[in-house]
Amino acid sequence: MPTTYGISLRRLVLYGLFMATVLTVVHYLCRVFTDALRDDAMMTGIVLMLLMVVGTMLPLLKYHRRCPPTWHTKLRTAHIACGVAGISVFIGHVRHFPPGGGFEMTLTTLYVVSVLTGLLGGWFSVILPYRLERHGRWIPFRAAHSYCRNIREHAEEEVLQVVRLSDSSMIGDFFARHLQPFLARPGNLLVHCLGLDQRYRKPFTAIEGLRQNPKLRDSERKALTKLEQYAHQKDQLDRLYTLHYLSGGWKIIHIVSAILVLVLSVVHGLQVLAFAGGLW
Amino acid sequence: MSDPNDTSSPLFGTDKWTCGRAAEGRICRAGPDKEGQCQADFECRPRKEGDRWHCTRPDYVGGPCVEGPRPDGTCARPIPKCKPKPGFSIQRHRVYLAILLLAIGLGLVLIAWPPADNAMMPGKLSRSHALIDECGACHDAVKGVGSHWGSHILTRHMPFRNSELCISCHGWSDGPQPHNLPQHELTLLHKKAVDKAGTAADYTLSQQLVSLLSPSVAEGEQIACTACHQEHQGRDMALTSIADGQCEACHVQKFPSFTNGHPEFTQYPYLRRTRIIFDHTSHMAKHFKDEKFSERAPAQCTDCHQPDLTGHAMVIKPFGESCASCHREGIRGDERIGLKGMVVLEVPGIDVESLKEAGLDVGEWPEYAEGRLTPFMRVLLQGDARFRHAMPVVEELDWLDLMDTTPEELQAMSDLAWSVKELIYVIAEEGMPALKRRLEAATGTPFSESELAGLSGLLSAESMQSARQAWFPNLAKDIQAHQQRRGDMADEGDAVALRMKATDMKFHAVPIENAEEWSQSGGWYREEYALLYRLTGHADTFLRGWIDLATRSDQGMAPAPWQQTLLASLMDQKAPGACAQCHSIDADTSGQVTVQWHPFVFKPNEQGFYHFSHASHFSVVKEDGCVQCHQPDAKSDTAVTYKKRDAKDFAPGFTPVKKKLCAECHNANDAPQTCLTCHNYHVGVIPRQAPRTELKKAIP
Repeated sequence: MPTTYGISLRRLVLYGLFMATVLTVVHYLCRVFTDALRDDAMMTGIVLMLLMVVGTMLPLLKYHRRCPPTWHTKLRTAHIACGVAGISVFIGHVRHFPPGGGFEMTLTTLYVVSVLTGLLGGWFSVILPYRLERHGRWIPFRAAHSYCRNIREHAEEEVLQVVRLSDSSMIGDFFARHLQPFLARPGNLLVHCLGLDQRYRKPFTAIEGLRQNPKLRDSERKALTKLEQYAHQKDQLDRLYTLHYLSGGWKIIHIVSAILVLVLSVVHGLQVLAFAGGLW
Repeated sequence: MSDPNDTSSPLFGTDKWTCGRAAEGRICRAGPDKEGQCQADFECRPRKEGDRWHCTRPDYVGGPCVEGPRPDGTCARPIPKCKPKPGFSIQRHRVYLAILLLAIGLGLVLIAWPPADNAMMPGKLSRSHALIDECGACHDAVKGVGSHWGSHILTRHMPFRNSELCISCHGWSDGPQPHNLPQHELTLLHKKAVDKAGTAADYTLSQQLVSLLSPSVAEGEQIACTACHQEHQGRDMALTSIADGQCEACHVQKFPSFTNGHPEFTQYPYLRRTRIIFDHTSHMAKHFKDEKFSERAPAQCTDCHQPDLTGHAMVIKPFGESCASCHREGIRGDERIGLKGMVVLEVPGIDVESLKEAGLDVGEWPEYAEGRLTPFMRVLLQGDARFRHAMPVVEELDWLDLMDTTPEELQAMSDLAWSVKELIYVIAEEGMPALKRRLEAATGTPFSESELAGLSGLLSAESMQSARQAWFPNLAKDIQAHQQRRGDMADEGDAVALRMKATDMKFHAVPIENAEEWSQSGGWYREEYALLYRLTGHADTFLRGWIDLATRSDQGMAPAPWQQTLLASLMDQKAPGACAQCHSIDADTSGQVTVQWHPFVFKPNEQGFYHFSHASHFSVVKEDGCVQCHQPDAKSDTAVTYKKRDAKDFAPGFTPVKKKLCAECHNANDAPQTCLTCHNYHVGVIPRQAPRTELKKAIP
């Protein structure tokens, strides 16, 4: 049951219910620990640490040679469940208000970044394959550079031909100024990332502008149309680049922040044990 | 471009490594292997159709080549080996590894060199502690910035070491013992509570979980301050706010709220008998209705009681305002039949003739003396070894008829007579130093000047000398002769006094017709062979001094037998002053005795398990007034219970306050009903620490 944003409402409701359940259990346990004259923050801290460690280990299990491919989805679901449960425990751990110290604030910020990138990544993994399938032909990303070069060579060949036939440098100049940089390397990543309209992409507005030029001959006009097709193909590759970077980029931030959170949490735990003691 | 749906499309290597020519767009179809080695050999793998080899180079790299395959079927265009570059996957993993190492390094640096105090702060401190800017003030692991707290990680008793810092700052003397009570008392309370408590089945899941997790107080587990007072939870955190559930953690008897499950009051608020003996029922029903007293009787509770300055306790007004109108004369002895004063010193009557016949000369002795040794004299003679030996022998004898006594008894009687004479002599000659010496010899403890002033009743030299003159005109000579015969004296101090002043002064004592009347306002007077003291009124320092002497003992020690005799005589119901009629005598389990001179005084820094502010409840009292809560119990015999010395075995004279009455207001809807509304956790003396100021430094 996908929604407009590619998120399954059923899954959203399930995770929401799961989070609410964990939050309720955490609050209940905090109350019990407080009443029992034990440090509830220590309890939530240990649970949170366990969730983070387990949540980190789960995706790594898929690299194990004995892990069947059918488990990959299950491991991912368990990883997300750990993350959602971790959010609830974290809320209980910080007692609903941000900490005051620089170290704890840094830790909290990193945790929030990790959570947000995780949520973003979860969303991307739902919508990106769908968009990749819908918007572009299936291209192995590793071959994208070759495709890009191929397009550029074809475009250059077309330009050389029209210049030779029409005896005019108008198309050549246009190509050198606007299309060559565009075809040379991946571009318009932010525009694709934000899903903006074609008019926000530079080469297309330039092509449209040149097309309005009355001095353009028929042969040049045909060549321009051909160049526009190549630009569209390159635009598809740009979309591929963008989607590819998005699908991998969130993971970098997520994992980097998660590593920092894990290590600094260990420091935080040791600090708490030293300051407040281990008998809780 | 190649067909994307072509399943025979080349793989272009793996995610881990990228072809070295990818940036040029000249990626080869073989791509690098998993180890990052270039696998490229030829641009295509020729296909044989019939006898001919055909080029299979794909379109996206230019299509079939002009040269075509070699005759042996190999491609004519070999590809130079490239240097594959790490792919996205490897680059990512390298970044992760770098970050991991960086984070571990950062962590180790943070442990080894902790940042400034305010850099580590799980939450803001409460307003009470807001000005504390040094972690080491509360955390034993950190004694200032830069210290190596990492070494304290494995310290198991850190909460209690931190508690010691709390205690040192707040000036408490006790450690983190639950309720500040010693372990044996806690164990006793626990046993009592276990007997009353219900079974686990009666409790909710939460209560059972809390019991499971909570500290085993009965087994001696301590409770750190932070167990209840959790800091770093924001400025507005009330540190002393404790949830009811936290109280239930240790308490075996669990219930949801005051109105729902709290045990009925059995004795509250009468946890011990009042220090001043006062039977409200008999006074109100009998004495206040007596015509003799009815005019002086109080009309309201507030005629005798008033709220103290804190408003917590209702205290008794001073004696002069509450009791004096009826009891003043009784204390001074105006209404006494017989002697109105107390016989302090008296020449005992002795059968001197029998002693002479037995060859035991006691010198001159008043012929008509009839008395016995007074309790005061017994105390003053207690330090005299001869007296201590003689007294048990002659205690049961008739001192006025010693004819049928044994030689040992006669000798003991003679020794006692000389002890008495020496006592009278040294007090008359030396006065207060002798009195002090005798008291210290009896008790074994030193006496201050103020104590001595009370115990002497400011006895004047003239009074004592005139008594000596009247009773023993040649006392000095007698004693000197006796000393020469015996060669010693009981007390070395007394002997020195005798040597110094072994002369009898001639002192003409003029007898007073009615000495008792003459001393109506109190003081010393003499009648025949007795020196008496008449009380000055309520709180007479002489009588109180001697009663205090009778109860003077080390902590946890019962008074000596002579003290018990003295106490019994002075605190007799019919004794002068009638102290025992109002002032109760308490004894603890060790037998240590305390005379309750003062009524209950509320001390804000002394806390019991309960607290109640009378003043806060004045506005809710209805027309019944105090009786709304304190209903007299006509059946209770209050006075009888004061015959015992156990302050907790008593009849209060009022029925206990009913829980229902409190619950009318203290319920879920109206006034609060938390545990701390009525109970204190910390019991005992709560100190108030004043700042230390070295005057030498402050005022040079």
